[in-house]
Amino acid sequence: MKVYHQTGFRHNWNIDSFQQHVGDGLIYSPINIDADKLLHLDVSVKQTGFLDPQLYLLNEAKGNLPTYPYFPGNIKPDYATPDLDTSHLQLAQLCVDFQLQNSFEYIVIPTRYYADNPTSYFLQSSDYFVLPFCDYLKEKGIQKKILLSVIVKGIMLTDDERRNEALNWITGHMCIDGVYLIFEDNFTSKQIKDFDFLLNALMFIKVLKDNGMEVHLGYNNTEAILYSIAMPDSVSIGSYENLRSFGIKRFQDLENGPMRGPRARLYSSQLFQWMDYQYIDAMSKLVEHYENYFDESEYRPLMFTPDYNWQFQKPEPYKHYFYVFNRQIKSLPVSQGDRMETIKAQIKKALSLFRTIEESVLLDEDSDGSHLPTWFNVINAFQKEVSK
Amino acid sequence: MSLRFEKYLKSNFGNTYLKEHPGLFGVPDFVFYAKQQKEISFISFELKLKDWKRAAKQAFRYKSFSNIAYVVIGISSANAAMNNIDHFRKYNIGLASFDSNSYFEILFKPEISEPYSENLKQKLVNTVARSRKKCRNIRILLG
Repeated sequence: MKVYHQTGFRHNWNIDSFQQHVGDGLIYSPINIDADKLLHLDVSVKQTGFLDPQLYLLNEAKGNLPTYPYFPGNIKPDYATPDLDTSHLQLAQLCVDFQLQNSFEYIVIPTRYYADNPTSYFLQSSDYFVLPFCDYLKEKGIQKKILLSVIVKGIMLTDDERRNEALNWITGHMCIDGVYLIFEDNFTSKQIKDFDFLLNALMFIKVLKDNGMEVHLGYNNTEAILYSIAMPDSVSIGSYENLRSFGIKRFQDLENGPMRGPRARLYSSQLFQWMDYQYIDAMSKLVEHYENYFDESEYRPLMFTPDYNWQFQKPEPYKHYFYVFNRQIKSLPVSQGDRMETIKAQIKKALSLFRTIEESVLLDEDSDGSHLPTWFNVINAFQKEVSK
Repeated sequence: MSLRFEKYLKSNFGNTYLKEHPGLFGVPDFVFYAKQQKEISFISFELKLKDWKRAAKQAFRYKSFSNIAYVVIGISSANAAMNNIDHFRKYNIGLASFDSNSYFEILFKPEISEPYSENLKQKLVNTVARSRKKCRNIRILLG
């Protein structure tokens, strides 16, 4: 299973890590990198990755998106949905050509985002994106694999009819090799603790894999470990929270008020959790051998010096996460059965470690292990489904 | 509850406090400070009408920059909190009740401890260092 860097703000951290052999490739984010700059990046950091075209809001001129030749506003000012009728072929050609120019491993077909998908959503997506992209690639004789971007909304997981409609649509395109699959996450907690959501997400991935599709998961947080038991082809690692959980706000050109930076956290592979650094201070006073709860990396010695200035602009906690999480994913057993058993055993161990910590340190819901019993139950339920 | 408690703090212990001070670990309703010679002690308060469990988690965070952290619970929920007094003992978090007549009762007084974070403590020290305000009756809270 591959690990891709979900890039965004401060993508240079991801590129640095990738060049130090962390991860298998990068998913590029047009809102965060100028098109010319991307074109001039060394091919070695592009040829194993792919582009997220980010036409989710079609003509929203967020960040660097307008520097991309396929950005709809560059085709026609005030571009709107009806313009797709007349220019979808041009858009597809520009988007494919740009991806080919960059020598990415995959060609990615974009998708649109709606708060509530219209009834014609799949039909429109086929007409405006899938068919023109596939036809143009066929016409050019391009042999690269094609991924279809899909945002899975909550209702597509919970409602049988919607789920089947989505799965039928995805698997109904002969020219597609796989999906760039994004589960929309509207949870307020930092970890996903919803049993039904997680089990249905696993089942969704499983159906796609059973149908011979490549499945590349975007915008993953720690639950990537859990998703791994459905045997996707890749999961993602990202620095800031908006790269580890998909929300449309990131693509909206909003008049921003003062930004509140996230609190600095440190990921622990043994705990399957990002822990607020202030709790690490408490642990250092109250928990024996507290440092053993955190992974070794080249970044750790600096972070554990007393004067280290923990804040979200610092690269070390994020590069540490890339390194540790990539290693954690790569160490999972190859066989599905072994993988499930291994993760279950690791969750049990993590729960035991949390019990020890919480003998003296009272953790809040975003730093504790409250997601883990749900994860354990989800694995058990998925195991039953797989064995049917 | 907050306004009444503020009035109570002011009239019984002095106005040496910060209200909802940002930039720490959580936002305590009040951080009371007591200057004694060169030392400054910090006592944080988390006010809650109910949900002592959530309040305790918030109060624990305040131990990063306080010598003592209290959960001040509405009188109607005080029994529920008292039934779980071991939880407060375990994490060395203070528990007090406060009623509509501004009657304040300490139900569990924790041991004074050094804040877990030197940086956050220093941040607070820098904030109040120039203050000339005087506190009183501090022993009631500190023990």
